[in-house]
Amino acid sequence: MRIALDLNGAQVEADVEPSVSLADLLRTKLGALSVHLGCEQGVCGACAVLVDGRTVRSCLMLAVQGDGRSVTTAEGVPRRRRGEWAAIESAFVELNAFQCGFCTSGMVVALEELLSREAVTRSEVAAQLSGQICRCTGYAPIVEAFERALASSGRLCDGDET
Amino acid sequence: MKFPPFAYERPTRLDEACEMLAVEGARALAGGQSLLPLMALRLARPATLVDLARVSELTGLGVDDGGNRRLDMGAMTTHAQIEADSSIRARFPVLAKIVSHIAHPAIRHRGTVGGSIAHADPAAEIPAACIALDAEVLISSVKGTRSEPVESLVAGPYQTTLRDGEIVTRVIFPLRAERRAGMDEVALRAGDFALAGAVCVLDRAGRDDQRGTVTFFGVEPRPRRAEIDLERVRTSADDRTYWVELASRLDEVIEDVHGDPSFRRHLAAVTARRAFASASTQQVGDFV
Repeated sequence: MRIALDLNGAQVEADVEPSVSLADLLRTKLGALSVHLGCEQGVCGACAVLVDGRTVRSCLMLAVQGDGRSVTTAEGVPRRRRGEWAAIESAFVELNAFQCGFCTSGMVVALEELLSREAVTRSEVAAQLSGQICRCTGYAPIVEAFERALASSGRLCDGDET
Repeated sequence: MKFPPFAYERPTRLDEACEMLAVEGARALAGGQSLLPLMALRLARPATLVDLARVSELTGLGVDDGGNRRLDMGAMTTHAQIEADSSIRARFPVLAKIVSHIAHPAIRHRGTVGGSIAHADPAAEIPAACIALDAEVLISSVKGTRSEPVESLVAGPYQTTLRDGEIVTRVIFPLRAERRAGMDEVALRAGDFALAGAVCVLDRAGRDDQRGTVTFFGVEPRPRRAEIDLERVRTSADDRTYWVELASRLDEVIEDVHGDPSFRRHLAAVTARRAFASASTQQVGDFV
């Protein structure tokens, strides 16, 4: 089936079999190697991408379901964040917010969803990260890097989730 | 862990979808957050997937305060939509709260209410909430339409009374002014399947609650709704005894690697007590 989608701001087309996942399309045909495949059954979150601005598991979405949608992978996040990206990147580097790095691109996509909101609470950061597994278990610095990235742009706020 | 091959259909109208689903081996694809992992694991191998994402009759969500007094949502309503909807947060806060326990945000962006009901996972929140709140579903197929309460639709673990070619099209919750509800759930980690969960519903008549029920999920092969002896809860010095006794009547408790039946029964009592406390502290008004 012929499909067309917006990938990180560029219009792309592809021929895909219905059984191909969005993750496999992105990795094998469209060169988005930041999309990491861990469990391929929706548990680990390493394959997180944004579809129309919302995080999804790209292993639990068919490529054909992406037809006509706008997809953002970790490659596309720096461009979306422009002026802010340097501060986000240095938060991750300075706080050592990754060890082996396998989960990092999924983390960056999860963070991008929070950065697109006006205000984010600490409990929302925790809820967002609950779906992203770091098998090195380096969660504390990742939470810290998320909070620093959100705080540096004035988005981190106090208060509980309603 | 790749998907096995299948044919793919993408109807835009309900009658088209029903015709496609009348074909042998066809299966409806809603959000895909349960069906696609089952296919990756080869536990499901449909010949054809009928993607319902573009069928307009399966979307839309609204609270009707007028003559019908109900909440009506399309089967393709996602958990994230329920969580974010201001009318649900105001009028059915228990629904907004229970969906926040479903997996993770990325799953909730795609998982749907109709898909969850049709999948009938014993630990799933949506079927339990539907049973607790007396929801019914509208169902369509090439043979016509019918409705059925979710209480009777969910027949067992991953089993429903849906016949071949039938799909859930809408889910309808009655809006009852004198009703209050609360829920609680215990899982190993946030977003994991519930080890035990409970939804408590209290219906008031006059100044007192006249009827109370608690619907357990994740405890037995299907959600179970039990009547609460409100008089006993009110008059007992320590109501914990009552909830333990209520949970002891659950006779098909799941045993798995996470715990033996006595542990799950204990969690059932704990979640029922907390759900009751949560419902009891709500204001009576148009809140469920």
